[in-house]
Amino acid sequence: MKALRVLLISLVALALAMPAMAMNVTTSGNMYQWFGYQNMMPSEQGDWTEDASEATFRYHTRARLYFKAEDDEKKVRGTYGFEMDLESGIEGDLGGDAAGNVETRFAYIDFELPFDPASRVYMGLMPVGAGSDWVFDDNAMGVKVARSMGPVTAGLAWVRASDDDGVDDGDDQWFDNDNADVFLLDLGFDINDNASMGAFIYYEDSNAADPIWLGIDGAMESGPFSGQFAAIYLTGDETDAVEYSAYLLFLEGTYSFGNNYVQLGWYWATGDDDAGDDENNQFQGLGNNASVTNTWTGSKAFFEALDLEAGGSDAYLSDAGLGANVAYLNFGHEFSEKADARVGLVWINYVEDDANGDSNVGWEVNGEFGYAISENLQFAIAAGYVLNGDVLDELDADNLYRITSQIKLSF
Amino acid sequence: MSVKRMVVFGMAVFFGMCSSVSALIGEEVGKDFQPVSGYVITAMQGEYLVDLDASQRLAIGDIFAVVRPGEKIIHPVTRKVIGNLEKAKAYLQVTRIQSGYSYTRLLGSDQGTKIEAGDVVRRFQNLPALFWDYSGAGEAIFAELQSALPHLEWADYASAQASRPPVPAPPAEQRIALTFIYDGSRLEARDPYFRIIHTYGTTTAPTTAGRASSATPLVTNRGMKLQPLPAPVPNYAWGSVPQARPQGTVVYPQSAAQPAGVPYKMDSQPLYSQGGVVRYSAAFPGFQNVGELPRGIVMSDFVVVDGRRLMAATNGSTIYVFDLSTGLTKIAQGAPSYFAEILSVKWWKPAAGKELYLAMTAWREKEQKVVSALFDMEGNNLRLLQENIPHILGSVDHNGDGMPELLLAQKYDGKKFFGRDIYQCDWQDGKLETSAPSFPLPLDFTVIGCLYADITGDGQPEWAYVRFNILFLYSADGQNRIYESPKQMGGSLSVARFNLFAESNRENEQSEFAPFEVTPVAVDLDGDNVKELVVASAEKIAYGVADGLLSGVKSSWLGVIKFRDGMFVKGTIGEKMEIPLAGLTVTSNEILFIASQPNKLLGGKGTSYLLSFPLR
Repeated sequence: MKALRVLLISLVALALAMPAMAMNVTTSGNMYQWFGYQNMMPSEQGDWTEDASEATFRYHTRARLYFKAEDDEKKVRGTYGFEMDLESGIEGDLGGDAAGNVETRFAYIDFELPFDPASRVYMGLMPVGAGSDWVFDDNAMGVKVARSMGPVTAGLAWVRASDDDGVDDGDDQWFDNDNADVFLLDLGFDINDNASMGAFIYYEDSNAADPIWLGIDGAMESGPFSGQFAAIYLTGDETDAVEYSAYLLFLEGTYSFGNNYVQLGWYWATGDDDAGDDENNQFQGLGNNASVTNTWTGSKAFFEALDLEAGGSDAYLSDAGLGANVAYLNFGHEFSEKADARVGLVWINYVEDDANGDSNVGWEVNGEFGYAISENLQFAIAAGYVLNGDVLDELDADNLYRITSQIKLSF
Repeated sequence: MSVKRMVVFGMAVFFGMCSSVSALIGEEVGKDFQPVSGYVITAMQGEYLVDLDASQRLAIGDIFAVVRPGEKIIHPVTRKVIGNLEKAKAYLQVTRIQSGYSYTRLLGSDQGTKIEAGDVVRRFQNLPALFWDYSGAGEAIFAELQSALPHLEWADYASAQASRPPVPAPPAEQRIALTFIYDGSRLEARDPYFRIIHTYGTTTAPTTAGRASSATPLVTNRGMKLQPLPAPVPNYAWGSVPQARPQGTVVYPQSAAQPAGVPYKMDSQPLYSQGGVVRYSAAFPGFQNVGELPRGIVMSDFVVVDGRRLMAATNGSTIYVFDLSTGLTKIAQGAPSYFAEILSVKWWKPAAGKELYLAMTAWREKEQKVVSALFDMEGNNLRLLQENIPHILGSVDHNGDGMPELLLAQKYDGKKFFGRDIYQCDWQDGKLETSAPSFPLPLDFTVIGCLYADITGDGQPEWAYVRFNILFLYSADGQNRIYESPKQMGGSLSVARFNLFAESNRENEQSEFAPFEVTPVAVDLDGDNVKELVVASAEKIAYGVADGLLSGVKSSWLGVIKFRDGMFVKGTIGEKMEIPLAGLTVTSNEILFIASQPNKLLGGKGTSYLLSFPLR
């Protein structure tokens, strides 16, 4: 019945918004070709030695294609987008059979409200970002209304977890919770042309847990300096007996000079120091998508050496429950309008000590070089090398390294 | 099959294809220039009606000889009359085609000749013709043409070659003749005014830069002297505002014919008013190549200051300034200190005694931000004043004095690119200051591709702007949309690609495209004291276009929007082209515009030309 109501509201809204105009159908998308080599395939907090895990040369193809049907003035738009991943180098034979998957990423309509052109409504499977992407950064089904009021923007969304198996497996992860509703309220304010602030509240209502995220974020620019920050507090009930109480702080500053920049960033997410008490202090996002292993740190090995089957190295920070204390330093240079390069260093730590009393996971040295063959065609090569810290030394881990090249066609 | 046989076979196929290409051109030309006979019906409003129409493959620009019967040809043995030695007494050119008849205009005639109803007309009969071969390998094509069009009076190949100018250009002394120009890939047929009437083959190869020099006199002076184009366009001052008509004044009688000498072609009966699709017809072609520009020009802007006509143009990474008063002279170039995609350049002159500024809008896709900049012209130098301006900058002539004295800054919007917040700019204490505009603007206005001028002739200016390939006209208060064109306007190569979800979602990259359009020009072309809009126009590929991969422009042309009989009608100037337009201005003598080939997918920048459509 609820679904029927939503459908009816959607249809009425569409009928109001759709002027008698021509519809244009266009295509856009990205196609990636990645060739990568990594000296081992680290499994989830398991064996990190070259002997035990297979080195791999991997060829990964990804196509993200979007089809849009929109009116002449782009006031009404329907978007269907899918992603196709094909991988070779893990297992299997030559050929494309069973080597990939196709995922519907987007299937949504968005339109301006005819009686309030400053408001836009999004409905369907759409991109959702929450809490400067620290809480959620993927696609989800739902309805969202966004409105601009001069310097103020507001967004209100309701999204719902998929219910693909109909079984509540008891996992607290949002995606596994049947009938979980999530409500997202975002407010933004442009202080001036160069500075903005935001505040947000997200609430999940599920059978298993009812977490609430409260946060602020912002960005600013002043001459050669630019920066951004986020501060998020996670509260609410995990179970009847356990409450969430966790924080995340994020700071990033960039100084640009000529065609160079230096960037220093840091984030700190609490971990749970006592699994037996009535507080869960591990910061986590919505569902299993959000993680504290963000690749915008510049990481090319530790956070990207994913074994799609086993979870990968980022599980160290996402799933260990010990928090994340990560700092990164990047230096970038643009050689021309077509070519640029970056070198960086990432310092990876737990906030809480592990069973061995260690918290330093390791360091990663990384770099990349990009060349735009044309506006649409870009080439990049990147590499990262992990220097083990105490946590990995305890595992007698070998040093992980990874090199990858990319060709990207955008249109 | 042995290698030798394969080579021989390959060569045979190759040469076979070459000869068939030549034959194909001859066949096509033969159809377009096929002799057709008819009669003069009557003279009407300075033109002549002939009893032929499109069913006889008539095309605008076709030329008819009005023949007078000459001496009879009598067989010496049978003494039977086997023909007449016909002679052309006048030539007429088709200007409009109706059902059952067509309008023609007199090109020239023998002295004292009178054209009367019942006179016989024959298409392209006895018309002198020249073949200019710029490929050096077109003699076979020439032979093909001679064979296909025996009714033309061909100058021989060698003498036509000897007299052709280095760059195709109209002859110094114009006579009634056709000129066929071949560059190895394309064949053009030009009329006596040197306007293209037919083209064959693929896109033309780049020609030599520079304003075309006058040709040596035609090898033939057999042709009749060509009449000058009638009724030159009024010599208006650049940007001057004509006397406003009282509101409600009828601009044209309901059934008024197009005034003679008007350089564009209108539909006689608009089919739809205010927002509807209007049928248009192809007009006279005929552009001249003023010169080649730096490659990859995507946007430009023009201004007249201190008696100099300046053109700023950008290829996306560099800004070039040309002085057009002295030919096509590059006087300055510049760029911001950072790498960014320059999307637009706009001149800004806040007041008569103040400096001339150049506002640049640029985009850094990596960071998803607008990084505009402001320059000024210090003599012949482009001096950088301020960078990293986070707004889209556009200028407009708001007071109608011909100078763009108003600089507008539009906020970037992550969902639409052109945001709703627009500010008025002022240069104060070495910094660009913004404030709320002191006048209303339409809701979805863009500061790029906009102008403020009286198009309806009611004495009140209107806002005009091109967005999403549609020309919008709004009342001065920004409230009433008074016209919305079909989706055929703009089509420039200046396009910003942005990520619809960059602000809220890093994982999903969904590209959206914001075209920056060429600003239309408001000018009174037909001397009726009401301005028309000259608009860069394009037909885009309708469905399935990958927006960012190709320009998607199927053809482009100079469009005209005119307010007539209480409604807007649409027309065209000159020929359609296959490449997008990147700038437009109108002088008292010509329409100047830039046509640029799209950049290649593997990085090569396309060729750019400054073209001219003569108004006199």
